[in-house]
Amino acid sequence: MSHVELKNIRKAYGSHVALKDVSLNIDSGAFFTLLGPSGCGKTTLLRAIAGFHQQDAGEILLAGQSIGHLGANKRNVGMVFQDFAVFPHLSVFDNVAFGLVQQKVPAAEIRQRVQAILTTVQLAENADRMPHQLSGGQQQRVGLARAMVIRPKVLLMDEPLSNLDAKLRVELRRDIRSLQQAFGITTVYVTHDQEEALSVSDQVCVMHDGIVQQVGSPWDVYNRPANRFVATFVGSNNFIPLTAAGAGQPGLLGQPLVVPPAVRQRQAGAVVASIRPEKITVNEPLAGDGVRVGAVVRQAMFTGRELQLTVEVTGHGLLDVLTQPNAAMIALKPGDALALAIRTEDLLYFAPGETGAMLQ
Amino acid sequence: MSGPRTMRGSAQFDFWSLIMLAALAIVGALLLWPIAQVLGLGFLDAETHTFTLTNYIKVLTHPYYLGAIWNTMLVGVGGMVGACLLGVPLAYCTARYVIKGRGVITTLAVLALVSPPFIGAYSWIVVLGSNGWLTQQIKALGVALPTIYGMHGIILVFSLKFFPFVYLMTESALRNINRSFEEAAENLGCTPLQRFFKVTLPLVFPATSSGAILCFVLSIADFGTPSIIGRDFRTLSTIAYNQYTSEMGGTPTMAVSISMLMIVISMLAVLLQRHMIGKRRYAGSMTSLNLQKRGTGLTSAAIHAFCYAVVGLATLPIAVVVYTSFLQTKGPVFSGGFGLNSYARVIQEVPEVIANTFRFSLLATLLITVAGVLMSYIIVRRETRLAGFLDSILMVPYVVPGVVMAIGFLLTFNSGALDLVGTGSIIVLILFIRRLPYGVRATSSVLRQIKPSIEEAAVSLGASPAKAFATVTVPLMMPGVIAGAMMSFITAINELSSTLLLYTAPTATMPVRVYNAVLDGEFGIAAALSTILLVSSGLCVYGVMHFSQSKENAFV
Repeated sequence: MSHVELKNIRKAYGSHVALKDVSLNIDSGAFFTLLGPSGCGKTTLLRAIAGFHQQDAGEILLAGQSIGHLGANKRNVGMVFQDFAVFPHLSVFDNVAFGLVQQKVPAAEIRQRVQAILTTVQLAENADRMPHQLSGGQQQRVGLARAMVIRPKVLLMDEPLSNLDAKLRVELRRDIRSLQQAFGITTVYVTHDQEEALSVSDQVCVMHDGIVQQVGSPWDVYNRPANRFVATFVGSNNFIPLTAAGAGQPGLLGQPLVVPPAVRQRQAGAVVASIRPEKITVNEPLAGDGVRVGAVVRQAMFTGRELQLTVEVTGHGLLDVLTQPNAAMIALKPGDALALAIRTEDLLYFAPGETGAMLQ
Repeated sequence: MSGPRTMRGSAQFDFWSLIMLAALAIVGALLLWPIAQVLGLGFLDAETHTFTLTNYIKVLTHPYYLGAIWNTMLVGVGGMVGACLLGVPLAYCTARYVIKGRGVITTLAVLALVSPPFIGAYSWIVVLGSNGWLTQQIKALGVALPTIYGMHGIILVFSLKFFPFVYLMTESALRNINRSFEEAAENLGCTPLQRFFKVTLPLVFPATSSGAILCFVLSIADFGTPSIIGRDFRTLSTIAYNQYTSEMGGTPTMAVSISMLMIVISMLAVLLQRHMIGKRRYAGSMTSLNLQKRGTGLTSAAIHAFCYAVVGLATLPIAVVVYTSFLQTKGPVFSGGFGLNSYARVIQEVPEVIANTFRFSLLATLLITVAGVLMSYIIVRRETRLAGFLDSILMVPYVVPGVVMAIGFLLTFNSGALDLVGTGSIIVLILFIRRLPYGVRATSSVLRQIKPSIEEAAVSLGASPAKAFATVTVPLMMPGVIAGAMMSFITAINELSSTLLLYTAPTATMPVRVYNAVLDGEFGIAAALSTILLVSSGLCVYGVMHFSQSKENAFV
């Protein structure tokens, strides 16, 4: 059942159109992430749901009820902010109690509910502290507790982790996900970090230029990107134009290639193939159909978990390759020759252009 | 992400729209209308009441007025340059070297800034006047010292009075320069002197020039100083006052033409400075701040001597005034020894003057504070065209000298239901409109530091926008608001240039009485009243420092 429905939302700032006819259905209890680069409209959309922006056109339904006419204070949605927005003049307890006081919940119940949620976010001992005595991570836990304690119909999070350092980000995103699952609360989450989006979400919505590019499970968005933009933005990717390799036979990196019918129908120059860096194997025989081609190492970077290679296929430009950092690989130096193998089943094909559609 | 962050995007009519209308009505009635009156009257022929350009032509061609324009520019530029010569080196010393008693230096600078504007002039007469203390001492040695009267005296007083603006603004800019800029310059081969002129000075230029232009505008607008020690040296503000008082009863066409000229000069100066700064706004990044060096031996001694000499000279008038107020008097003359006669006379003869000053100033401060909070909210949080318009209009009082504003008020509020001439209300209103921009600026700077998301959080938790403002924003603004109110109060109790034209016997204020006492040679009363003003200002300074996060920067 869809819990949040957005119908044909449009929003413009002067001549800049931030949202172009956005329609989405978000399932009850889902962790739904809006993912995209800055300026793609994801925050504008979130703030429209919260009621901080009035959309120019379109309708927002919450549990079947239209909320477009309600002020932000009447919508009963929880909001977690990028800059925490913890009230600096109120203690942790009073911050979390703020919304319950607004709802005129009896004092005893407020005390009990605030204590309970503070225990959940591991801040029970800090109830009497002032915000400036807390670390950034703790402040955002207060923000989270404050938004959840009012039992909102939907929880909105606007890049809640982007002001925290890398380790804390990973830790807190785990906590957010497990809290969300424990409470079963419908959540709309905004981020520009694709790894964060993939790791916490049930559904990911990739946005670009105010337009929804794809909505799907993290697996689908990564492995079955709807268009070239999604394939570029989510994870890293190599894009290689298909060439005609003599007698109308399509070719990849100068090698003949067997392509699906949808690709074969198009002109060779009008198709771009993509291959994930981790799908390219180095100095191994080709398993099944595909191409095998010689290349030269230009740069090798060891990141601990893996080895990132930048290699050049003469006449075809640079490719990124990810490999296991074993002894043979670590020994590679710029200028060394190697053999790359790409399997046909790992290739995807796209129509040209920034948002060219995937060709099945 | 990139969209403007307004609370409620669509501009529907609500509480804040009402405030906007009220704000526009207030600046329209108290600011734009009086100035329009001044402007319009300049085009009237005093005899025939028909349109004419003669007044303005006369102001721009007659040697008497040309001389005054020239004099005004001289003291304006002189005061500004003098203030920079004192302020910039002082700022560099306290920002970059360990100075013993740095707090004392800034406190003294702030005290010099908030002391009544005319006591400088009058104290320097006591020290360097024809019968001055130092003049007599030197004369005893057989050397005739040039007296303080005239242009050089005015420039000296302005430099010492206004340098704290340059000092405080430059110092804070110097402290906020990322150390890496200077290190990069050094790393690229600059000597310390090259580094100062090529990197440091350009980086603080926006701040220093803002301070300098403030000195210029205040110097050309100042009335008390040139009228007390100028003697035959006339500036535009003294002749505007004299013209107005001599044209009283007739049509004050010449006074208003001079007034317009002063506004134009101030405005040109401000625009010139803005043009020079242009887009050069360097956001202060707080990453690696400069450390203060410990000067060695002689250097350190020289730096300390310089710093203390500057603030010592600047606060000398305060010391003179306080000292004089405790001298024993008999009638208007000092009879030798110490005593409280001056205070006794003040309390017997002019208690209502003291009461007036506090009553008018408190009322004006209250109005400024309430209007300042509401207006700054509109300006900071509502990015509409009208809000931008209001913001620019509030710049106007900065460039309108007090004498001019007073003439505008007298032309506007003089008949029918609006006849306020001679009432306390007209004084409260002029204090209000003259200082409102400072109040708005103080509260907007606090408001800008409060992230809009704080209010949005309150709203998303169920508080109405008005309630979010009252329960979250206002408490967070409070320290800044209190500091701003105290600043308004300080400037209100010390106001002279506008009230001098507006007062009548029952509505005289302390600065007015001090001015008249100085002219009458009643130095005892002048000193006692000035000391009362000084103590009140000093207490407020303490309050501002206590409530304001930016400490001494709250004063500029």
